[in-house]
Amino acid sequence: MTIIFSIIVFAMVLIVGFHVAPLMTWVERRQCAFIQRRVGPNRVGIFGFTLFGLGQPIADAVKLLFKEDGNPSYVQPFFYFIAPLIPSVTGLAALMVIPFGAQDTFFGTVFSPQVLSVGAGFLLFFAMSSMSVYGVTLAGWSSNNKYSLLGGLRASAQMISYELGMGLSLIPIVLIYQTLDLQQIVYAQSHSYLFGFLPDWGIFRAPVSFFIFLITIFAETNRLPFDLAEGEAELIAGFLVEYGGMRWSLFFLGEYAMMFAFSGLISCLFLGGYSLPYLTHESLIHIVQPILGSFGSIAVFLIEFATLIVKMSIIMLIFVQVRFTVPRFRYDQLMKLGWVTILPLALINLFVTALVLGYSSFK
Amino acid sequence: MIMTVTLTILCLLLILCFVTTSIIPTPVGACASLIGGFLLLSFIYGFLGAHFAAVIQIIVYAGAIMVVFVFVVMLLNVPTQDLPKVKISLADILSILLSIPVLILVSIKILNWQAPMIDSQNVEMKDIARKMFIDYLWPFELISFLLLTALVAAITVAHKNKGSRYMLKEGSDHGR
Repeated sequence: MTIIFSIIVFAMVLIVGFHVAPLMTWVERRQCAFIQRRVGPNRVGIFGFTLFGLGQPIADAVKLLFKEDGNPSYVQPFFYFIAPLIPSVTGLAALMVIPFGAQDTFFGTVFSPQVLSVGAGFLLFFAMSSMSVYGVTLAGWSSNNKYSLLGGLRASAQMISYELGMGLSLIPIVLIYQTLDLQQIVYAQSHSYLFGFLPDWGIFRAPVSFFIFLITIFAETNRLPFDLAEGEAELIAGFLVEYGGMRWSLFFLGEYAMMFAFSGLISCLFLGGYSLPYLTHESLIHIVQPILGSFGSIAVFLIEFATLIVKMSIIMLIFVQVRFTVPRFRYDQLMKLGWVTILPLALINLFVTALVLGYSSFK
Repeated sequence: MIMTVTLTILCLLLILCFVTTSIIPTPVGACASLIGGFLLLSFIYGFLGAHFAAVIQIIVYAGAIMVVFVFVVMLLNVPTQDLPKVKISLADILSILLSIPVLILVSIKILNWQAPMIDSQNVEMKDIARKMFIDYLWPFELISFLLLTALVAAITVAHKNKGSRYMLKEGSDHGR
């Protein structure tokens, strides 16, 4: 029974991860249109039901699937074919670390909506995100094209520079909540803070960490204003030059899955994860159980799942809003921001947090 | 039983990856198989229950150090015809012959080996940190000094001829 539940959760996360990319392409075009005072894609629909143009992703997917599979003669074949798989695999694998609800018992069986819960906790997430850079780098190198190569080089240097700041910005959170397990971190955040005035979220405990992490995930997922690996004004489209059709879209599947996974991680670490503000898992059950009886735990799971999805969607909308608001950085500005501003700031933040926590524990 | 079979298969794949690293002619191919080897090594750690070591293996070696390796290999981007040709000399044959006794000794040790069972629930990061920063603090710090020394030594060796600041300038123009 536990195995069946695990397979269901695995399939659920995989399906959600696969559907993020097509939906987000539509959201991105619509939101871009609203920012630029246009209408955006709103025509495609099925049998006259346009639904704000939500048929557009389906039409796009069909177009991409039936496009001719271009196969340049001058590329390095093995790496050229394997490179688009790496971002999508690592992006979907990173989603497996996110807890989509609290561990509970359904009909006498333990049910955990987190696919992978290992002792190393969310460090596994960083392992996946650091592996995803090879997709871009190998694509850039194997395309045998100057622009692609420059894009791949830029991506790998950028990734190394921002990974340090990202890792250091999360150590204060680990120090505050004393664990690496995402379930326990989310549970600790479901209480209230400052005499019940605020929810005990990471963003109120460590605001500097939140902003550093938010900036670094833009760089890690290669999104504007840090998408110098693509940089269509300078590099045409960087590592994507020689790709087309479904292979090209696999890169986007990976990028959006990784973005979605990062929004899940940021919700779990800083925004209370699946827990509603001021309500712990137990108090939610106490509210729902008398109304729905034995189906209460399923209802609680659905409420928590919806809460997390809403929080993740808000982060995704911030991603899109930033993309169409902030212009692209120059490469030297990017490196300067990474090494001169973010890294020392993260170190100072870590030092101050450790000092405050050490002082309050000695007292 | 399943544990032993899985570990044996993983170890054989690991050896295959590292052998490929040393004999494959293209530098990027060598880097890729080295990354594959690191990933397999972390799978082995994971199977033995050392989840933290497994994750750190991926983050530090496959995710950070190898990215720098791949960066340098791609930046130089030496064409295949410019790569040095490998010639088997007498010294190579002698070193292979000398390494056979070591191989036999190691394989005797390996054949008597049993896969250790670690209770993964009991090993926490706190225990690792306590061992590393309290019990074995001095050896740990000494190793970090050793690494620092190696770093300084590498820089000194690389800067041997101080006259030429731009060493790539003379006769090694790989940019196409």
